[in-house]
Amino acid sequence: MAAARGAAAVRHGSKLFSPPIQRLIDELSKLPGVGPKTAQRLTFHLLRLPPEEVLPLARALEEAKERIGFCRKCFNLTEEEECELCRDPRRDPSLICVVEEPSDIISVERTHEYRGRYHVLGGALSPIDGVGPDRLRMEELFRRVREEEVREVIVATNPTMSGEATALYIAEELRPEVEAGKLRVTRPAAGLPMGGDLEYADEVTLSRALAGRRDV
Amino acid sequence: MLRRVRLQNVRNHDSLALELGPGVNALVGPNGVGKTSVLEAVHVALRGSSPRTRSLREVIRRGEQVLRVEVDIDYGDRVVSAATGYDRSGERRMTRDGAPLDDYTRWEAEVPVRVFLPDHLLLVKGGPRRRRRYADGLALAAKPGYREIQAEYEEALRQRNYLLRRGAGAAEQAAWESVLAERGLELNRLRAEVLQAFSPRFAAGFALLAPSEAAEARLVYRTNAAGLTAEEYRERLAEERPDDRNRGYTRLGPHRDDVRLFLGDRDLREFGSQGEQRTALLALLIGERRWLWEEAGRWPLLLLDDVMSELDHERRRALFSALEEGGQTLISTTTTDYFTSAELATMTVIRIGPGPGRPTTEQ
Ligand SMILES: [Zn+2]
Repeated sequence: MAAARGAAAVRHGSKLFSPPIQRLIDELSKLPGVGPKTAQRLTFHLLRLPPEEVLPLARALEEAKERIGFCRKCFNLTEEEECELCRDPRRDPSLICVVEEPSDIISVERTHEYRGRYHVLGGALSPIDGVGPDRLRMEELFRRVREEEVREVIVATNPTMSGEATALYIAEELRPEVEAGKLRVTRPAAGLPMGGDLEYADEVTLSRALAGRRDV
Repeated sequence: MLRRVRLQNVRNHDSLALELGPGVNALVGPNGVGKTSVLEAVHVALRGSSPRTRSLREVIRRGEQVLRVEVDIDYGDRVVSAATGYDRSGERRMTRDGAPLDDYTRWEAEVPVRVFLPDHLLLVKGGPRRRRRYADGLALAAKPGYREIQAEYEEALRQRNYLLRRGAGAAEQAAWESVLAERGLELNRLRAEVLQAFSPRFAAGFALLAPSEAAEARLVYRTNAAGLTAEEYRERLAEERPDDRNRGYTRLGPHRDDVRLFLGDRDLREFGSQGEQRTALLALLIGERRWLWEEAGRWPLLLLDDVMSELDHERRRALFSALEEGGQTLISTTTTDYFTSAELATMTVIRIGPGPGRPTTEQ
């Protein structure tokens, strides 16, 4: 009962804490997977630390936010306007591998099997969670496909139901191009552990799945 | 198996403790002494709910505030106590060895319980939801991965229903409908397989309990997606979209399945006599029990209220030998005359007398 009351107070920003503390709690609780209780614990932890241990975190945040942005083409993280992968002339521009998050690029890169470009959606469809196509970088993907002479779109979203629906949606939207014989939309073969994250798939499994990709 | 059962302020019992034996246990006493309440109490201890009523408040002894039931579960190498307390104010407390139970469904997997009450025939007579759950229980024991498919299907269904209400472009709808169709067909296939394999057991159980019945009993799987290919399933979903949108939910799919119980050409739900419906329920429970043993290696605890009085001499023998195959059973009965002396020698008899006093256990 007491815990529930405490959490509610934190959420409603009552005057339990002084404004700077409350602001920090509020900011931390916006992070994914961090509830009000965890935010409160993290806040008190940070406040207990000596300044020389906390300030580097603040500086790292600031620096990363100042210097890192999204690649204007593929939405990978980059310090430049366009990411290294998009600028690399040895990479095949007619292949686009679609992933949910920038971290998924690293998983695919680790396989050393893939020599095309990427497109980061920024998530996967989940209507209940308020994620429809307009919340993802879908229009940007479709524009690239139409403008850049792309031969194949490999949809390497996570092997979850959301990832699957996202792949089906992309295939559905690109159906005219596919039916005109200009494009293939493929998905890595089964074998990735269902329900998991691309991130957790080992390299051998992932490169086998990529090699055995099939039309959606 | 269950060892000790202790109840406090349950129906007409102020306090009662009894020792159970392995195998068949008979709770013997005259009518009105509260034998059914003991069965009910075991269910309350392990499930936190009564099989007789929705309101646990009704189960609290008149004039008292709190009921409490505790059972000792003997795992062979250790004994764990499961208890439920319920307060008139509506507060329920379930514990395991005294510590609050974080997950109320915990015992469901560890100690499966099945109940037969002669006047509670909802599994046979009621709506399809209970029978779907029954079929799910059979499938969960026999089909690895069933739980995952079922959970995915339900999630896909929620996503589509949400899209129906929110409104969405055709491509987004079609994507989720594809996902839904695939899971729906898989769920259909698994249920159909399980029910086909199980139906003969139901028939055998029914025949055992009603040997004079000429017609054969069977289970009939009813699904509105019967025989559809994935393609057709998706097309149907797309066709029904406008109508589904008006209703706010999806009509096509295994979430609307039913399992009907037939005797010959007669659907027992609508056209069965009370006696036939009771026999069907008992056949479902006996068949399921054996199925769970064969497929998952466990016998559910059976709580049978007053089954013996309905059966003749021969059918009592048949039922007893089915129960003797394994697992623990509690049967309430007014008299031990329903059992042969050979049966009595293998079972535990617990006498519950009127008025205060401890029940006596005869081995
Ligand atoms: Zn880029």
